[in-house]
Amino acid sequence: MNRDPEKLCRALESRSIPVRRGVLKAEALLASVILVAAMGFASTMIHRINGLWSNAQRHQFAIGELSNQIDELARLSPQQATEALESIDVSEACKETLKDATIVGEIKKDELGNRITIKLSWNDRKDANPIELSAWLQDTKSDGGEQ
Amino acid sequence: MKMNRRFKRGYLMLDLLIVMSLMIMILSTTSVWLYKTIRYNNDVAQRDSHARNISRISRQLRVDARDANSISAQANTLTITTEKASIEYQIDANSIHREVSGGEKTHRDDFKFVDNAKLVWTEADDSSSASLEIRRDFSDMSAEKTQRSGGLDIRIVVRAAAEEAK
Repeated sequence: MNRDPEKLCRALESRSIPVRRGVLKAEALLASVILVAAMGFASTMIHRINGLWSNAQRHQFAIGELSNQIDELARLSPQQATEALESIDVSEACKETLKDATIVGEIKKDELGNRITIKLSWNDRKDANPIELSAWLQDTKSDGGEQ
Repeated sequence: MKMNRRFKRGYLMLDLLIVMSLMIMILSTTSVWLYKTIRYNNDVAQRDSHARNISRISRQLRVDARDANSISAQANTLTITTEKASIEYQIDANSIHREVSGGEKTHRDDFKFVDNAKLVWTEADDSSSASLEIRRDFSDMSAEKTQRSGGLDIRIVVRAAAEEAK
């Protein structure tokens, strides 16, 4: 094995192998920029995923609130349901959970009977609301004249 | 002399110290990230399971209440009585066990929620309806204390439909 530095240097030069010690400033800068960009991207993604989770949770709560409301309304007669819709309001739990939550509803007649639709909206960063839920009144055949 | 500087054999103590401290820094950062990733993965799996079980119990409770003659809630137990069977929902720490008895077979089902879940049955004054509140207790997690909802995930209200129809 050739251990003489001079001979080794000549051998390397004859094989035109570049001898490098250290890194260029540009390379170090590029590596730093890539690292910072990757860390920034990861942080943004984590923040966005957390936001999505919260949004999905609020959405699930809103569906629960609408289901509770429509369970109550669907048992009523069309006249009672219309009166109930005039004074409909979200529950206290919903007011605490969803910011500025408002609920509105309407009754329409279709081929299956009296269809009640309620709509819940709230202030959210994302445009995932309002959400709607529909049901048909149970005694629609006895009260609805068109059945 | 010039050649000796270009082709030195071995490293200075300073070189080794710098390389070793850099390696320690990279290793410690990586291990923290790895630990956090595994923990976050578990959290996500738990939250996903929590959300799915909320949907499941919400649907199941409403289906059971549709045929109910009476609904009563006592401490940790909700009992729904129908003409054919008696359905019992029992809270056990962070999970709810459902048991249907009265028919030929006894059916059992479990709904498991996150570790810090608090489950509460509340019976209404008219004793024909009850509600289930599922909330998460963030008292030991300072980061989540500011959550507006106070950790309330869902409130499910069920009413005995058959009783009203009579």
